Amino acid sequence: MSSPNPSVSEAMLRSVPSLRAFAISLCGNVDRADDLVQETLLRAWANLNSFEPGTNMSAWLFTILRNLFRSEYRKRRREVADGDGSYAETLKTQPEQASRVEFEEFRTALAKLPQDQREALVLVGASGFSYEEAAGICGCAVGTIKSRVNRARTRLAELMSIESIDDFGPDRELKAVLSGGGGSNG
Amino acid sequence: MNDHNKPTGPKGPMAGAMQGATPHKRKSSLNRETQIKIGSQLQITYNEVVNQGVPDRFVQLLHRLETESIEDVAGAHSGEFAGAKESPDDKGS
Repeated sequence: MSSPNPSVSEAMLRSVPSLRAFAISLCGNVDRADDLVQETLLRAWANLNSFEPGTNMSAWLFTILRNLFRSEYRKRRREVADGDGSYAETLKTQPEQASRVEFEEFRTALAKLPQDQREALVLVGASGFSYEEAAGICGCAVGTIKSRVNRARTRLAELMSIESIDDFGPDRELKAVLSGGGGSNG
Repeated sequence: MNDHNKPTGPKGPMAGAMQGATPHKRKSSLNRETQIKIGSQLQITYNEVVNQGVPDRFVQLLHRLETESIEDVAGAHSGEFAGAKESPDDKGS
């Protein structure tokens, strides 16, 4: 009687990969992130009656995960050094040798962002949520999310020292847009 | 005439958003290439995890949730974040 529709557990499973990615961006540690995802699924299952059918299951799970992390984070805040770059170490596989350094730089910079900026940026820029959905997940106004995303981008650019690219002028910008940002030309 | 006491002030829900205007002398908006670069690196980093798929432990967890009671499953799996289990650890500071 307490076993819900199997499509519910399927929907939950479908959300697991992105929940993990979000959790890792919050925790900076794969093992803790997986524990967080597990706790999220348990909480969600125990509170399925509060899920409104027809609404976004993924957003609901993200909300639970974020709240769990927040309450846990407050407890352990004193013991864990925040933003020490450990996020960079959590992902072993590198896309390409050539861009390896660049990505490590990026991940280190991402880990240094303030908590609310990082989660806003990840939700909107990677998880594919709208500003409205991200605001719902974070429990704040849409304008706040927009502001955090903007500040996150600005701060990342500063940390990665790539604002100096401005000096190259519009030609280079145009080329980047046309090539999609990552073309290799010989 | 009670409609003069509007609660909107500097503490309204949008107050946080208003602080977005940076007092820095830097350019307030990033150029297009920088935005593309940050966006693509963010997505690649994120998708590396997404592409790992669903680890087996979660398949098993949901299978157990479907077949057993939540209490049994939650009791067996109490990770670091488990809030159900009470463990008074405060032995004073």
